[in-house]
Amino acid sequence: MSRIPHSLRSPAAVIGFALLFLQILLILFAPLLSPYSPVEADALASLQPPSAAHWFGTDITGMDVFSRVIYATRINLLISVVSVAVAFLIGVPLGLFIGYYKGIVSSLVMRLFDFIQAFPIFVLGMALVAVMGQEIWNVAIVLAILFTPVFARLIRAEVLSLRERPFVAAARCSGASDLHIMFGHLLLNALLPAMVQVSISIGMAILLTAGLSFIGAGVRMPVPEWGLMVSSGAQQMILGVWWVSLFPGLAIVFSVLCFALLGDVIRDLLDPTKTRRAVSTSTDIIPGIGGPL
Amino acid sequence: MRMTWGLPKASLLALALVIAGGPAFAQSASETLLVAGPRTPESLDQEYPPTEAGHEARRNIFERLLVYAMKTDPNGARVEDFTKIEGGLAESYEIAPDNKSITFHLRHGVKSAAGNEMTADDVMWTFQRGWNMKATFHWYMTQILKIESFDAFQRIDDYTVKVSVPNPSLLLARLWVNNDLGIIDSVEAKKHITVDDPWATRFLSTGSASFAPYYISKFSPGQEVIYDANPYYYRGPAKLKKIIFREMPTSSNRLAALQAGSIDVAEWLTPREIALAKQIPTIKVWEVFGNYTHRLEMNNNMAPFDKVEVRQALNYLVPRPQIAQSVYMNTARPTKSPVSEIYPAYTDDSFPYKEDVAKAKELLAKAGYKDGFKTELGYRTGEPLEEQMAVILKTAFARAGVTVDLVQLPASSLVERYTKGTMPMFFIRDMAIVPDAAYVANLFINSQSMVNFSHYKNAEVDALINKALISTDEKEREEDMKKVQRVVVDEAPWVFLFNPGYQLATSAKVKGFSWYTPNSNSWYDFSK
Repeated sequence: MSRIPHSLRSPAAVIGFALLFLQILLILFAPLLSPYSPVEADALASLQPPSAAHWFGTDITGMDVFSRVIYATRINLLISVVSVAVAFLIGVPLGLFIGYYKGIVSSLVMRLFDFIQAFPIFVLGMALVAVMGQEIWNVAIVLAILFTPVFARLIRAEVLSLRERPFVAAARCSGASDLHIMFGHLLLNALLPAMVQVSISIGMAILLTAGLSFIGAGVRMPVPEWGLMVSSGAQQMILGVWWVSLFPGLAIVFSVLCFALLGDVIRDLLDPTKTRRAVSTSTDIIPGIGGPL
Repeated sequence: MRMTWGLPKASLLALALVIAGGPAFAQSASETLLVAGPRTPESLDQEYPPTEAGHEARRNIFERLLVYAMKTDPNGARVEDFTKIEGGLAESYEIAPDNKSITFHLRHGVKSAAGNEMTADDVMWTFQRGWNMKATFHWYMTQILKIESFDAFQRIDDYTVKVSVPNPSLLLARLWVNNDLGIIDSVEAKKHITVDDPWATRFLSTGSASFAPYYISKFSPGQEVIYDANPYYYRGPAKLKKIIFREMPTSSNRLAALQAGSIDVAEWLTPREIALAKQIPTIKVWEVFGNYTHRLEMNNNMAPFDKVEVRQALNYLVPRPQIAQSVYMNTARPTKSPVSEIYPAYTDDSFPYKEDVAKAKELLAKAGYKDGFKTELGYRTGEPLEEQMAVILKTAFARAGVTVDLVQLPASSLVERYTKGTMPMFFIRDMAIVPDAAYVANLFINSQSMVNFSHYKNAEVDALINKALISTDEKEREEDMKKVQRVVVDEAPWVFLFNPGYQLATSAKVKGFSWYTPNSNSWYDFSK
């Protein structure tokens, strides 16, 4: 028990991992867990309230909400994880380069990021989806475009402070190439905030995917997607039909909560100031350098 | 010093506000109607392609030469009596014995909102504009009346205009009731003419100049349209002095606003919302049989819909009773002809399509699509009914191996795609304004029609329609049109769906609902 870090034993971590485990189960066993097809309409079963036959009720076309909520886990997490992974893989090296090399290219890239981030996120998302088409992969690409500057900026900010540190000068003096300095020394030290950001971004991506679908700029009907389901159900709220929106809404809440909690856990795990061996500076965890100079 | 200047300034400001807001404040709440609909008109110009929102604006800001007399239907709603045409801006009219010309005798003393009196010059300028712009008016004249030259339009004197047609036509009078053929106040419109805009299109797309009961005082596309009453209107000023139309895209929001009393009229609610509205004591629901056909058009030029068997197969796959129950709450009737049931010469005696999956599979195999095919179905944003039907049809078609991708598009993008012929299947909810089977068939089925979006083409059908357009033998026309309906139903250019009727939810205080064939509300008839 004592070997498990304290941050992994916190209630937040337990809840976060439990929710993650549940989502993985739903993703892997969706066909076994879903009593109905998530995309087949049954006109005569339209808007049935929750019952033994339909645990979460049915939507206006008679599709089973429970089955759709389960299958939507696949779509929402697929879009979110893929988009954040792509953004991470592009944003991190990019941030490393523009942080390490100052110059016109670096400035141009930063202005491009300013341009992307200056737009209201939904307006930009809608515009990009409108141009590229309402496909699952296009939504993922749009989110990747939106998140890339986030990772790049984080890494750049870290690199800007690290590049003047003595260990970098030492590495340079010992004949290390720029690439070696960037990927062998700076990257590992700058990665912590980006790692924490991954989990937070997945949560944000889930919200954005749902948000884009809610306003009609995300995936198409009848693809099971939480935001689209909330949107579709919102029309019927006035008729007293609450179940069509409520259950996918709860799914969004728990999924976002899961990744927010996991983000905290990762931060606590990787933050050297929260470990027993932490000392006054971070230079002692720099690999390949061998301690303070 | 500040006090000295402040008081006069404040007084002046207050005075200015009173003066500026005078007309607005002059109207009491009972003279203002707040209306919410799914969208504001795309354009106010009659030459713009007709849309539901556009039709409503036209009904209120344009006045036509002729009108139908009104009658009360069994539900108590005022509807048009298709058997009786009366004078509108034309006090009377004469049709030549050979049915080859019509002469309009214009009313004297008819004034526009700008105070200009209508004369034959206004009518001729309207005709000239329409003819030269080669859009809506030109289409009616060339396609329906077969007019070949502008010489067909003659100004006889200040209050008399004559239109001659090359062939006899039974539509010679009926056509001028049409919502798209209003008369423009040419004196006012000409003030907005420029070298590069000789027909004042810029002005007339966002403003009004006519002899109608209302004029446009504000047009903010996507937000609101404000209609003010024409004080000189020839039938007497409207009871409602101001109509404020607000765009509210979500139908449930419109119902909620009506229920809360923030608006007086909620247009285009879904059948479920209408059912709910009927249970609310402060809301009145007006219903008429209507003339709509809600259908799924297939691009007959595009494979696999170029094969009759494929189109028939899809018709056999539609679960009509289920859609009637779950989508329309049993308030709609299945469409069994391209012609509306309320129009003369309608027949549904040959409609064979009942849900039959085996038959559909057999037809698909015969067409060479034994394993089905993949296609796209387009529907409009903000149309929950179409989305619901699209999902049900996707499931229904899948039973025969037909995979449908649903494509939701803004109305304008969808129109652009099916007009260009790049959308394989799409919903159309449309009606023909003129209650005549030949007119309807010519509009939707004639291969030469600009609104035959399915690109259906059958030489025999074209010939029968063209013959009926110039025939004066009513019995022969009726037989020919019944034959056209049988052929079209058999060749199924569309997936025939439903006639949803027309319903309007208003505050219980609102009175005077009337129904016209374009399914657009005439605010002149309303009061509260």
